Amino acid sequence: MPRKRILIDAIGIGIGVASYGVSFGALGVSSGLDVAQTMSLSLLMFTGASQFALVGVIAAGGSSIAAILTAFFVGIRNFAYAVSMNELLKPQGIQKIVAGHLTIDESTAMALSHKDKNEGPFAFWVTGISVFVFWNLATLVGAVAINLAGDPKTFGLDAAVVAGFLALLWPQLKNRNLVFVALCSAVVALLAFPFTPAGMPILLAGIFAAVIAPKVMV
Amino acid sequence: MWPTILFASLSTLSLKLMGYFLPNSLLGNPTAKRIIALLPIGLLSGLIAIQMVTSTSGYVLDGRIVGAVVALALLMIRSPFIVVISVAALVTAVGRAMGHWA
Repeated sequence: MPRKRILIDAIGIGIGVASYGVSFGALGVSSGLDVAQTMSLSLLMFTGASQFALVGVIAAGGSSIAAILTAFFVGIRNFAYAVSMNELLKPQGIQKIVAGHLTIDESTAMALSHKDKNEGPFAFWVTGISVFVFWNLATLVGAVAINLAGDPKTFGLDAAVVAGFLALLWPQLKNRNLVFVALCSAVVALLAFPFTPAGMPILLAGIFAAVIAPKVMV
Repeated sequence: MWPTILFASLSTLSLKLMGYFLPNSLLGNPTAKRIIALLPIGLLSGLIAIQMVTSTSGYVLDGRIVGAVVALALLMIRSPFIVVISVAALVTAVGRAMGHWA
C-alpha cells in the first residue's frame, strides 16, 4: 500500500513537471533551437533550471561559453544531491550512471521524504522515471506546438519563464540575508548588462553571490 | 549549436556523476557548502533580472514585470509551481491582447 501511494505521488509530480516541460519546449524553439536540439536537452541534460538557463543565454545572444558555464553553475546543486543519493541508494556499476542521470530536485526530494520508512530508493527510482518520461513528452509537445503557433509572447511565455525562475529561487531564500544576496545579485546583473557581452551579467551575479557576498554581507 | 548542447549536457551530467564517483568528504568542506548554496541563488537572481527587464536592444519595461509581480504574490501564498507559471503567463497574455502593456 505505501508503495502504491508513492507511485501515485510520483506520477502526480511528473504531470506537474509536464506543464513546465511544455514551456521549455516552446521556449527552446523560440530561442532559435530546432525541435531535435530542444529535445536533446531534455533527454541528455535533464535538469530543468540548467536547460532554461542555457536557452535563456542563447536567446539573449550570449556566447556558447557563457551558455555552457551558466547551465553548469546552475546545475551545481545536483552534485550535492548526487552525494546524498549515492549514500542512500548505494548503486553499483551502470546503475550509478542511470541514478546519476535521474538525480534532480524532484527525485531527491521524494527519496529524502520517504527515507524513514526504507522506501527512499523506491521513491527515487519511480519519481526519476516518471519525471523523465513526462518531462520529455511535454518538451516535444511544447516544441512542436510553438513551431505551429508562432510568437511565444502572445501566450505570455516570456513571463512564464521569469515566473518559473522565481519559483525555483523562492524555496532557496530561507532567511533575510539570502533575500538580500538575491536582490544584490539581480542589481549586479542589471548594472553589468550594458557593459558586458550577453550571458556575462548572469555569471557575474553568480560569482557575486558565491564569492563576494559571503565576505561583505552574510 | 549542437556542440554547445552536447558540451553543456556533458558538463551538467558530470556534476551528477561526480557525486556518485568522488569520495563524499568533498562536500563536508564549508567553502564547497557555501558555493553550492549561494551560486544558484546568484545565477537565478541574475537570470530573473535579465529576463524580466532586458531585450537584445537594451532595458525594456513590459508585461513581463506584471507577470513577475503576479508570480511573486502567488509564491507568497504558497501556490503550486504549475499555478504560479500558468497564471503569470495568462495575466501577461491577456493584458497584451487588451493592449494594457507590450
